[in-house]
Amino acid sequence: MKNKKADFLLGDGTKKHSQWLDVWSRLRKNPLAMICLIIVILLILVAIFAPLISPYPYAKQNPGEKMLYPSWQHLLGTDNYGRDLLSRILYGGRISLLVSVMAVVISLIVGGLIGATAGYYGGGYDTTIMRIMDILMGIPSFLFAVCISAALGTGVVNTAVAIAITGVPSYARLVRASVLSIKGNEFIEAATALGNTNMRIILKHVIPNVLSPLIVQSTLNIGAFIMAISGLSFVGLGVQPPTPEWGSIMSSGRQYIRDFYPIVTFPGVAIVITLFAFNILGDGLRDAMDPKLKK
Amino acid sequence: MSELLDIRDLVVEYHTEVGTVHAVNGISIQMKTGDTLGFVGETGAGKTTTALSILRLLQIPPARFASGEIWFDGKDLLKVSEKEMRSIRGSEIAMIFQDPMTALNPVIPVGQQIAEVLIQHNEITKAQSWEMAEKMLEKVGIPAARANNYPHQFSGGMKQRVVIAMALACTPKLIIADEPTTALDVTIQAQILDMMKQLKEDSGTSILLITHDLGVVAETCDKVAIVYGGEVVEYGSLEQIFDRTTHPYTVCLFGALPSLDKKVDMLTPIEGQIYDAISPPSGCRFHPRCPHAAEECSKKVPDVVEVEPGHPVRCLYANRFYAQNAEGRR
Amino acid sequence: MFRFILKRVLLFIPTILGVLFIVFTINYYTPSDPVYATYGTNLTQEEYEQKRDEMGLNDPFFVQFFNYVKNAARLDLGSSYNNKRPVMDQILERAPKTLLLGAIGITITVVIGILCGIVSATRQKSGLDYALTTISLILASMPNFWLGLMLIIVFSQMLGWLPATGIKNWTGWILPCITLGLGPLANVVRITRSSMLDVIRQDYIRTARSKGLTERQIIYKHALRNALIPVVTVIGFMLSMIMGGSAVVEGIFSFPGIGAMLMSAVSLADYPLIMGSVLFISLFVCVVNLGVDILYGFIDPRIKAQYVTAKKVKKAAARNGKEGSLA
Repeated sequence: MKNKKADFLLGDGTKKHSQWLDVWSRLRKNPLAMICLIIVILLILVAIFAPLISPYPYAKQNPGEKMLYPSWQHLLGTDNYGRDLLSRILYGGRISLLVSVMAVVISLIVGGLIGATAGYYGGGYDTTIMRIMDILMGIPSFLFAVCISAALGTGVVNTAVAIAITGVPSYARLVRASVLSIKGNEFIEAATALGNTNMRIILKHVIPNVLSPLIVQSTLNIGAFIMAISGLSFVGLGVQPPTPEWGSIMSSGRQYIRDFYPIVTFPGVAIVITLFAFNILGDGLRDAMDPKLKK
Repeated sequence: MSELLDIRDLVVEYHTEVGTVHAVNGISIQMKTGDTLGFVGETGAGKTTTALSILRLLQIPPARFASGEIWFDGKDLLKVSEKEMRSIRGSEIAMIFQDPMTALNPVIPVGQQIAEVLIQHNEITKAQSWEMAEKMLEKVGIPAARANNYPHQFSGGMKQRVVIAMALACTPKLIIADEPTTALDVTIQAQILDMMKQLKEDSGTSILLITHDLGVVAETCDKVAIVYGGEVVEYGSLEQIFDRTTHPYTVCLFGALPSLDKKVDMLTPIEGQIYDAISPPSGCRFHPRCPHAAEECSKKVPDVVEVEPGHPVRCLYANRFYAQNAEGRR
Repeated sequence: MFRFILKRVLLFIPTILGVLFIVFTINYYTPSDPVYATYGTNLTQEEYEQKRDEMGLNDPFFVQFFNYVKNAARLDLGSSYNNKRPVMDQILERAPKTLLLGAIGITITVVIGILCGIVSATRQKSGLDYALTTISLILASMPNFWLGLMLIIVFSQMLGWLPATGIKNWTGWILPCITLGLGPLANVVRITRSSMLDVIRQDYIRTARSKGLTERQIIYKHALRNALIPVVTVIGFMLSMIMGGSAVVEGIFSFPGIGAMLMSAVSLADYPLIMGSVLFISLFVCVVNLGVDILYGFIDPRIKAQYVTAKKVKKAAARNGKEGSLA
């Protein structure tokens, strides 16, 4: 406590620096989380360089090569139009990740602002806002997304917005809790006493303090949102064919499930790997950022 | 009469990430039936570890019994089976823990928590055990009607009464009380101690009273063992320890104790860092803090010297200090 | 206790209104035109305006919302665009099956999850602990519809043990129930495990040991009830996940419930049916949450006490205030 205050008064930036180094050194000691970090980095690289690494153009139809099982030519086989499944899954990852990150950013900004203002100003405004967030959380999030998606329509942006809305309450709660927990602290009082403006206090003191829970939540949310997006696409909302998306690829393969498994199986494997990586990395980050929580 | 409890050269270590903690380094104590032994020392001296060793409640690992024997009623407790040990816990040896706030299960009514130990060790029905539990509560001064209440509905002192009722339920031969009054208000402390004394006289059990408070010892005990660094440094009757204090550490403990008889301007704290159980000092474990430490003390491990019958002291200069202090008091 | 329940129930009313409001608002902004959807597109401009007025679509937003709530209170959620039948009738027809499916699903989640959590915690750092933790983490990473499809491939196509779709007899229930129950399992395992590990370290567990109880008695009588308190708090959330997932899963297994109806309504853009189904399931989840809240009070005596104490304190304060004013 005393240190924090002193740091603030001196405007010392070195502490922040070493804090992130600490997190990194703790994370490095967690082998599973490190493996997942590597997977996540690979996924991002694949998403960026999909056009370069995919063996075929994702939309290239080949009527002579319909529904082939995996072979050296087509590592994961082909779909009902003779399109290479591996290429479609690589591109699909690009869409899934893109929409998911968009949704995370939107809900982070909206939820963060709602939570921060609720926590900062308190009173009736706070009560009303948080009651509304409670009610939103009471609605099963997938159904909520279906509802909004049905109203907004399909497409990349609309899907991102629909998913983002379901994520707002959890961010609002998180940020509000963090703001409340540091609002009463002496160093904030000291900052106010020294004549800092509200905006400046929020930027300089509140945000750095809520950053680590937000990073953890966002890592976990990217995974959760990918799952929700694929669900929406699977039921015919979300991202529409011919744009490849993991859920929509599975949806298109559903009718052939009786005699041809690859179309529904492999995109699902991709989702499981992606989600697993993001979940474990999120947990690892949580442990690394708050060592007190662990044991 | 044979010993009820006879701990011989008990050595307990904890293996942790930072190193081996030498918590208990060869403690030996004897207790006869009906004795109340005060087990006195600072935090970290190995008192609680010794107590938990008797009931074998230490987590193994990290804890490890390196050597020693604990004889109770003709059995070596470190050798008996877990099943036999369970039949001893609660029925022959019971324990009163330091913090009554956390020692009771918050979601079970107190009556049931007392009845449970009765059912465990006696062939009785649930109804009978409940009746006995209510009687036990009345014995410790809590109305029987409150047996249905949950721990959070009691005050700290009341909770400690419940814990005592639980410990006494099966009329054990030995009760280990680990700082039973430390967490309580001073006024409640006296009440609890009086009650424990009374109950002890009624049932004739022996009590091993762990404390850091010599005042409490003076009030309740007839034997005293002073512990430092996982060893007993001085042992004797209440009179021997209080009137013919010999070990420099015991002297220091008295210096840190506020007294009503004498007017003292300032209490004397014990200088230096408390005993480091991970890298214990060489020679006499107390020498870094001892006001009388000589060159020799850091090199030679002191033997136990019996300065008078039944008054062993672990100090190189035990006889000299004994003579000096006995002189000074007279 | 009665007051405790009453207070929870009263707090529930704004929740219902809130859910109604959200669903109504979303519906308000849907791109479809209720007039065309109900009466077809070959209306004259005059007829169209007249119908629009009749249906109250020209009223201000809040008047429309008020009418919506009034109708909902009379169990009238409008009629399907598609088959013109009242939405409420269709929901009530299908509700028992969906609710039973959800109930079995949550039972599977909670029972298996708690058992695995206890095993993991009591054998901490053993091979079994790692295996259970890893399996539940993988399950948590699976979209439930994909899990359902994989189960169909394995148990219906390859092994031929269970039907892939429909519920002609009880065997048809097995795959949907397992699919729904396994998803949120990881959460229950994780929470049970960590809260159990926390409880085992508590002083009162040491007290229980010092009384000579067996490990079994200590775990099931003393530790479990304390460890379950955090688990109970997430049951509502688990059910929310399961009911949300039931829509897609019912669709996959052609299970004749609300979820499958919702999925076909989505593909037909049948908005009254979509909103009605979502409203019904959401309200069901809210009711269960209310039940969980009350159950929580029974499991943890301290919760009830908090409520009672707060009241007593207030009363005492009021009394003191009066005395103060008199003096």
